[in-house]
Amino acid sequence: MNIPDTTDFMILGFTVIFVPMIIYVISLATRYKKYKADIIYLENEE
Amino acid sequence: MKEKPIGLTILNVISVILLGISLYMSLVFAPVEVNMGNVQRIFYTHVSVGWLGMIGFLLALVAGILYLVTGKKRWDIIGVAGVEVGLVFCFLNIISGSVWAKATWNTWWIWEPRLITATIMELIYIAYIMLRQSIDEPDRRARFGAIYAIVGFVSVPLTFLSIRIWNTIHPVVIASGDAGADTGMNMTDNMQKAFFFALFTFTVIGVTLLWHRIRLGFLSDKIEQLKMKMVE
Repeated sequence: MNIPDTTDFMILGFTVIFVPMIIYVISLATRYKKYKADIIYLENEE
Repeated sequence: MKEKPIGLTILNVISVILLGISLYMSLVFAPVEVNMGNVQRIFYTHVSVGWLGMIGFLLALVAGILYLVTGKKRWDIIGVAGVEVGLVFCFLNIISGSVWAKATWNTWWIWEPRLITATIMELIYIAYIMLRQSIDEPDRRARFGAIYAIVGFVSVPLTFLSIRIWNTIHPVVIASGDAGADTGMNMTDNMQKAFFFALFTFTVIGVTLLWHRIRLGFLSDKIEQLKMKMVE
């Protein structure tokens, strides 16, 4: 039986899952750093 | 807020290791599916991210109920975290499903019950985030968020059950013998192992990300309180 070659779609499928996932993890880290800096700033302003 | 808890650091490491093993099982351990070819390998991750998305929305439902019962701010923060993580992972589920659809059904999109209900579910929770941002008063915003998360959750079981309720070409993975579904998926032993391992992996990843997002929520709340104090 001939197995269809859908490797390109497999690569695309993993890409569309993992690239946004990595971007989301980076966004969590970036926001965490920003919020920490904001808190330090606001506490100094008090 | 305390520095990163040791439990969270351990979960970060475990998540990365599990993800590596899960990818190995999807790409190497599981055999190639004869009808679909290699594209079927994204199925393990595709279902798992959808599962994680629904866990996020379930958490928002539970947190919503607990907020209304106790009135404690922490439940509002947990609810928002659940919705955000749920939204991200349901989005990944939808777009990876679209890639699969192109390879197997020769179309990027088809208006069938699972895709319609999943899209509606995603839009309902996008509206949750947008509407929350339009409310300035924290208690009102939290109450609104709690009620919305409870009502909005109706879309989650509807999405999960859509392929069992209506006739659809979408494969039924769990209990594929159900009436109402045209297509089931017969998995070999190794495919099942890869599938359940991926589900477990993404559950752990979900807990890790939710924990991070909840910590972020507490920081955001602290900023809001400091700003309000300054205004007073």
